[in-house]
Amino acid sequence: MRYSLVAFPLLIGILIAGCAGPSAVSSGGTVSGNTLYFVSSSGSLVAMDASNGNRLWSLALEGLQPRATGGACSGPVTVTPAVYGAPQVDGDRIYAAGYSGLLYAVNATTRTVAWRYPREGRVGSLVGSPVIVDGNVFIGSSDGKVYMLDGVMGEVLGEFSTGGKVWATVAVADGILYVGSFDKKAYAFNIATKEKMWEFETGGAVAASPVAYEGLVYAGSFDRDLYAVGAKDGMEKWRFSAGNWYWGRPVAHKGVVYVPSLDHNVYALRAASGEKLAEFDGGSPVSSSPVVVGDNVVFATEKGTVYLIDTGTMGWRKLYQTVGHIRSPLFARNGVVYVQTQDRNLHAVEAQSGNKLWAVQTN
Amino acid sequence: MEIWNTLIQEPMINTLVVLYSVLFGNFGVAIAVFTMLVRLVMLPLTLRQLRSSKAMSDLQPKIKELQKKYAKSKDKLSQEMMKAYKEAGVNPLGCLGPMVIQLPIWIALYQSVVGVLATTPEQLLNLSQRLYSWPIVYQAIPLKEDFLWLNLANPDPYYVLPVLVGATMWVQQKMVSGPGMDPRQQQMNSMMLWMMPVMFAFFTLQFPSGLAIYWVVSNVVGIVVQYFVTGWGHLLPRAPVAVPSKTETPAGGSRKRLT
Repeated sequence: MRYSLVAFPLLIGILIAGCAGPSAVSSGGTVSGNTLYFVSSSGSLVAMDASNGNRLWSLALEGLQPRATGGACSGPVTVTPAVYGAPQVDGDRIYAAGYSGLLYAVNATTRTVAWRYPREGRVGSLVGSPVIVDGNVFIGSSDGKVYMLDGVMGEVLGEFSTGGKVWATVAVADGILYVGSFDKKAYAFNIATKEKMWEFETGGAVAASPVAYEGLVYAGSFDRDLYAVGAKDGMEKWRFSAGNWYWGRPVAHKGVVYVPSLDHNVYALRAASGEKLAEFDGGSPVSSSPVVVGDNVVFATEKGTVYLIDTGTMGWRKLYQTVGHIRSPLFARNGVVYVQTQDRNLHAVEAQSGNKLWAVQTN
Repeated sequence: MEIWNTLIQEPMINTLVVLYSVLFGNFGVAIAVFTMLVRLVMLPLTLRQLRSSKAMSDLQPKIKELQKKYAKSKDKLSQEMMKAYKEAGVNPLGCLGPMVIQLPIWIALYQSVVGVLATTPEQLLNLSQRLYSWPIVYQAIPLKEDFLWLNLANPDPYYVLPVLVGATMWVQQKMVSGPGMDPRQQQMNSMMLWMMPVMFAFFTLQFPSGLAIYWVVSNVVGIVVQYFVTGWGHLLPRAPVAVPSKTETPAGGSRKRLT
């Protein structure tokens, strides 16, 4: 029975070696007023005092609770986190979208669920953050569609279809919806007419969130190129090659786009021409989205180092170091940068000094 | 760990993605071809292991006789057994070496299939650090998950693959399972003959079906190789054999020999 001698240890081996999966990507967060919102690893929407990290209230969102996903490497060992995208706030509504394929609208005043979409069943996994414009909610789905919902009642106002999964947070500007899709294309839709304005084909999946800025749309692709295309006509203006995929959302500030790449760099490119002004090698992949704080751009590497770039001089320095890895998008308010780590800690860091204001567990 | 990734894991992952690109973006076929290639590379080891196992199996009647003859003297028994092994040119541990080498390869193959499927953001991020700087590789990700009726990232909804995994594993084990030296061993053999296929079929119910394809193809290749070494072995009912002579094949079924 020597075959069993191979098969049995093999089974044990693969269950141990193959299933010791990576730590989960935490959701980002958002600050509104003095309240910070995020979704905990157990699937609860948490409201926190942004000044000291004290928990104000939390609401369990049943459909966003973590679940095992198919496979031996899921099962009891790897659990898909509840939420990847950051919740968004609009008035007294907080919107949180889950990997389980459900979008929740929570009333911040009553602390109850206002509605959930879909009411029955689920759509494809929701990875990006919801985007709120004029009271309407836009959310991309792994079923290849972007859903446009009425923020008050959660009714579907429109659907925009692509040929692949939409994991990237969509962008909306001047009545146009910009979408990156796994079908290797970036799309622009007229929100009013629901018609496709253009599509732009790249050489790889577009997982990085597109950014619209000064008449151009910036879309990073798995072909390792960042494309700048005309926001209205979808014509390529320039492209910039990196050494690995683009994953995090770029930020734009004073005519310069700051683009994170998994090749460890953040590139500062002139927005109009694509000319490289500087590159900042963080020493490990930059998968989280940077954030603009005053005249600075703050970015974090996967190995937990947070850097600050002075956009005036293009000088940069190390700001902070976390123990846990960082993959969640950074967010900021009133000169404070909030950093969510893979070991489920949330750090509040003063952006100029790098001083830790507080850090709390986000379980 | 980094050596493991660089020397074993990454070449496997990248080969798998190249195959996917070359085979018209069909990941199911890519897994099947890749599994066959890996089995082909390991063929010399597999053959060595099978021949060693078969030689051991062929010696069992003689060992049994010796056990009866020297039941009261363990020292003498072990001496005579070693002598018998030596005369037959068999190393009792001969099949373990190839097995030990194959095990990490199989684990790496398994990990590669799981890694390349990359269905969640964190899996994709991890995969990004394992890909070579070849456009044919990094542009191909994420892979299309559809194959026949399957979504390769999810378990088979119609339970065809769990049945195939269990059945092919049972056949392969049945071919190599020989008569035990004592009733206890025989009992254990028949328990393992059923337990492993049932366990693997059960796990396949939860595995991504891409992995189940790997298991089925790997088992089928194993059966074919086994057939060419030992014939159908103990799979077919054995005809009654009076006394095995030195020139006869002790196991039932046809016997071919690879040289």
